Amino acid sequence: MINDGWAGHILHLDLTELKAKAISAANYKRWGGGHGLGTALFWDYCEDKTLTDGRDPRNVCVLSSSPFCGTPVPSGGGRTEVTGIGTGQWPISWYTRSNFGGRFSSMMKYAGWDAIVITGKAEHPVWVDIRNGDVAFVDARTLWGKDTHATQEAVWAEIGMRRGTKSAWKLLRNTIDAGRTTQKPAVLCIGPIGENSVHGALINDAGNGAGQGGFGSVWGSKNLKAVSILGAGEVHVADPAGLIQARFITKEKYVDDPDKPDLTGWTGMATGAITVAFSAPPTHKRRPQACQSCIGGCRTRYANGKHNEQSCQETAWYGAFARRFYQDPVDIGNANLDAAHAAALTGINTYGLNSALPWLEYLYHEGVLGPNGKIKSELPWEQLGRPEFAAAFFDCIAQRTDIGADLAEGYLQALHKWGREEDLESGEADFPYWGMANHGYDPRSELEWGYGTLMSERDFNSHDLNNHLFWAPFGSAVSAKPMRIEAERAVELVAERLGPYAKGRKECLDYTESNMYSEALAQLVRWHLHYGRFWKNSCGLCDFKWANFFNTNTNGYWGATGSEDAGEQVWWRVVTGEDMSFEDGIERGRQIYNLDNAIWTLQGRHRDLCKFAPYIYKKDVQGFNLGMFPFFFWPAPDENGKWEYREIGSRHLDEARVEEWKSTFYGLEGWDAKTGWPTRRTLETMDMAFVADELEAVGKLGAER
Amino acid sequence: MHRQGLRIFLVLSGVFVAAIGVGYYAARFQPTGRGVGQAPYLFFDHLPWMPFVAAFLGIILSSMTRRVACYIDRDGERVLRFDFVARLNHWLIALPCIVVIFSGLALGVFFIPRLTPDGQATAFLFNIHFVAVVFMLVGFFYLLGNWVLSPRRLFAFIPFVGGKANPIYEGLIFYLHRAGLTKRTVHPDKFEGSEQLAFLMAMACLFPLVISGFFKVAARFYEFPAGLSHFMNLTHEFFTLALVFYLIMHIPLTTAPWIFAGFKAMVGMGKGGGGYVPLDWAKEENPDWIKHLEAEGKVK
Amino acid sequence: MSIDDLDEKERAMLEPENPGRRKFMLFTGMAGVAGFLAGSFLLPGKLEAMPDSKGFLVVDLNKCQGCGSCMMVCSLGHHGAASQSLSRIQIQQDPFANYPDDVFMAPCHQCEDAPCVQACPVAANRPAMELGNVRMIDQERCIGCEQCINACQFTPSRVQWDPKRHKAQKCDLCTDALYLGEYGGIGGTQACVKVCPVNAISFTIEMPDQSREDSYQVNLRGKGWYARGFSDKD
Repeated sequence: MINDGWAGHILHLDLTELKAKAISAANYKRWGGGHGLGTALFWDYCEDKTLTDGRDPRNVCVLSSSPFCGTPVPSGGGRTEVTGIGTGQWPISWYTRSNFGGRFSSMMKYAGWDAIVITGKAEHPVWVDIRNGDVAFVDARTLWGKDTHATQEAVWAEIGMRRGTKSAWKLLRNTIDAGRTTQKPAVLCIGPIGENSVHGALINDAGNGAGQGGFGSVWGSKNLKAVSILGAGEVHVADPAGLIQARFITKEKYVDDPDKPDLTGWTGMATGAITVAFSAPPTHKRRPQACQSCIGGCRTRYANGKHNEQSCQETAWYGAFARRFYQDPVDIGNANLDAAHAAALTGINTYGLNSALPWLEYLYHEGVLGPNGKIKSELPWEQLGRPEFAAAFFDCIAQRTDIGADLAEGYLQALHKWGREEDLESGEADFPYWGMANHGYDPRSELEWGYGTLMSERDFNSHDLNNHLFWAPFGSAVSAKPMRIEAERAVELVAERLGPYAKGRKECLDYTESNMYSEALAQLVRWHLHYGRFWKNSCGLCDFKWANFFNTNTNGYWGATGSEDAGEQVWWRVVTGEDMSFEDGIERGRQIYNLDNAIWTLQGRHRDLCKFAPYIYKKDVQGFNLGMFPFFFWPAPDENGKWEYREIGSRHLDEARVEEWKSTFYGLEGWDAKTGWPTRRTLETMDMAFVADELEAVGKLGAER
Repeated sequence: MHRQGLRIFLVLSGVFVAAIGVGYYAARFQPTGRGVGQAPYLFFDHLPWMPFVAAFLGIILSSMTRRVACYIDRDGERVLRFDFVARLNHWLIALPCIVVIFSGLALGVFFIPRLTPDGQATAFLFNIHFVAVVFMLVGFFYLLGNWVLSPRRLFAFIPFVGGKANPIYEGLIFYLHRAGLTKRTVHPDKFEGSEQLAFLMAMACLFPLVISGFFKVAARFYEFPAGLSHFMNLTHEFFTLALVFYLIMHIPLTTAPWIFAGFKAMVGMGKGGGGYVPLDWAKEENPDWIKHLEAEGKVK
Repeated sequence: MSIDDLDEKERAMLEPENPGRRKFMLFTGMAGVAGFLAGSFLLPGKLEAMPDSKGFLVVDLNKCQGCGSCMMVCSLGHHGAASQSLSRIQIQQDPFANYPDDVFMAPCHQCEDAPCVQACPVAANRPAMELGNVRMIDQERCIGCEQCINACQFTPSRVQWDPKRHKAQKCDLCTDALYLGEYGGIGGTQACVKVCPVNAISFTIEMPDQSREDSYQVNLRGKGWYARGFSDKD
């Protein structure tokens, strides 16, 4: 069927005119869905791609589902990709992306939409009520200023849905029987932070968030408070029996039994992954909670309700501070969750806080910031670590008071305004790339992460290699559990899936100093970017479960990625009917990545802008950079070629060699090494001559070699 | 309007509306008395015998009424086209039929979605459908009974019988001539060619509808093979739409200005009251009919 | 209207009475009326007693992770398309509520005296005797009257309305799940049971206590669940 996996239509919301229009998705199918679809729509709908601030009304924000959304593809049925020009980055807010899980994308598909394109700016705050094909713009002036949970509850009430469970079937609209549902609308909204600063996240339900990129702030600038979606339709797939059988196989073969867990397993597909990061969940009275179609939920809902769905990053950024006041693991866990709850309510991108709070505290201890400092702040810095401080900090950004007035424009923007460039030299301001916080896998240690970020536009945040080659051995080491797979075997298993550029090449995973700037690393980063652009961010496969390179549940420890029974290409085939290979998907990712680069080029990108912060080239990193662990594990060969899990020692990057590496990378991508711009030849081989034409018209087409 | 006719119309309408009122009341949800759950009182469920009884009531009715032959009233310069029985029969089918069709469409037919928002409204519509079906079946079988008693009246509709012209040719020329597009003329009998064809189409729709409708009612108490039930459901839906198509043509073509005299006769407001049409008009519209009436001595 | 109401001319034009045929019509009509009126008392009633289902779904409300995989494979298995509205098991959530009140699982109970079966006017919804007495709706017979949907005593109703096909549908324990890829029904696979990532749905042949709705809510958690950091107590 033509529409297998696809709903077939894209919804355009024009906030300036308050009009909704449906367009066919037929012309966009080559881009796959998710990020590819969003970028192609941005290309068509954004009239001025030179914008560098996402708060410009001409910015186009797209929410995209994928053919997998709404179907039981394991950990692939529930993600929504968000694209557009971001906010708060440095020196330019690039065209960027984020995504979030939960219920929104599946509801979008059931409502009959593959994507929602948001353009313009409303005269006053609005929210959008989508029920199947019916779209209404609703005045949101009474919702403006509300936190994200109160906003969602208010929207539900306006639609006539009550809190609680166990409710009767409801008509979507009180007229012709266009569909009935027992579900609540999936509401995506912003909080006060998004209304007033560049740090806004988009929040759905209690804890699904798209933080990085500042899309909450993009919505705030458009006077868009929320989008609610309710769908009662269906998603057709090409091979329903094939999809169901593959799903059954995945559970049997790749996931350990939830009732007989392998607590030392290296599976990546287990149930109940990280909930509260780096501290104990405060109670057993909880359930795992999952996004739609997930094979093993990573979140939790608690008996106190307040901490629902807060996990991982939202519970990681405050941990080091909370330990100053709380020693009992349960108390630390609760403090983390309270801070996470405050963050979710206010709708802030917590990633930025990873680096912002240590830096600001440093300034406080230096006497630069504080009631008597050059940078005036009355915040109770001595209470940093208590949940009350977090709430006060968020409030000052949301209301633009205290240092929030400057921070609201961006962390690096504030740094420059305060004249604190020296902190980027010393590393006290740990913003290594694009004005964004260090994720923790420092570019000096975990090379594919840093390089991937440099060659894209934001914190790379793709744990494919990280989950397997860092967390699996690291987790075993710090918890005194056995290394389930030897280093060399682990690297072999990963390398086997790195086709077409690095298939079988173990050296691509060698992060030792002798290999840090190699062509092999460039191929690895290319693979990773292309895999991410298509299989992850266009298809909507969750970063927590995919890629699955190795898996201790299977014979030979082969993972699901690229496998014949549960590989990414298997899901694509059974859903869409298109018989695409795993490596065909990598190629599609390359096309999408090239389209991204074309937009960045139009925005003003040049290789000279693609640099890490100065301290990356000057200061040695010590281990895993969130101040918690003093070492960074990664498999590496010794001088005799024997692979072991080794500590990547303290080191920095050599700027000149990074520049050489970039040239290698550009060359491999078929871009002009002098500028980093795509060339016509490269674009035309991908049937993207229309992109070359637009670049050429503004004199930004890369020169051929 | 014919006073007696009006009285009968009002009485029957009153009964119809009262029955609908009972149907509305019955459609509310009430305990079933069979344990848990609530259900509306659906006439189709609880009175499945009534449509069959209605059919036989129609036959009984046909045995109780007498026909008045068509004739020329010279003094009144008029012709009796539709006697009382003809008028009663027509409206006893037509008016309930409109309600049957609308209620049926509202319950959902092929591409037309169900228009009711909830179970109670659905039940009410089913009850409306039932009441209208009962009335319509009385009328339809009254018609069949009248044909048994007076076959000649049936033959008047059927093409070719009685030496009638090719109905397609007759209908075509009839209208082309009126439109001034041909000098050729035809001399229709009581029903001109297109009316004969319309009759065939109406019967082609009504018979399957009635038969499949009886099957659907009987399914309440007899277990037919699933395939047969499915076929009957599809038949019922298809001929509903066919009948709608027929009515879309029939209603305008029978109330148009050039045929309005006939419509007035059918409602009992013809020339001088009752089912009469003006003689001049009839001589022009149906010349052969007038000739036959004169030849048979049906002149008063 | 009687002959007296006719004027003189019309009376003269009355057609022959045809008494023989009239009598025939009258008696035929009366026989028909009498026959059907009498038959209305003799026609077989609805199925009042029904054989018990040989299979039931039980659920653990404290274990469900709210992923909706069961809903997706249910609709996919029956219709070839994934849809929450066409799923025959419904999972409802309130993301802001306190555990365990944040999730409700609504499987069909395969009731002993199923009111949805009682309500069906055309015996489309009935126990399939040759298939373990599973209460299921024959899609060819169903006329879409929705009585079964409203008859279900539970909230949400365990019978769903399919607006495209104008039919009611319900859980048949995967008897008619043609897209399952394996044998469904009693003795076979139930898709929701098999797909659930946390094993929060189970199939049993023992009929739960029909007097309590919560007899279908059981504890399916054990020590392994506790080892993962989740409570195994209710």
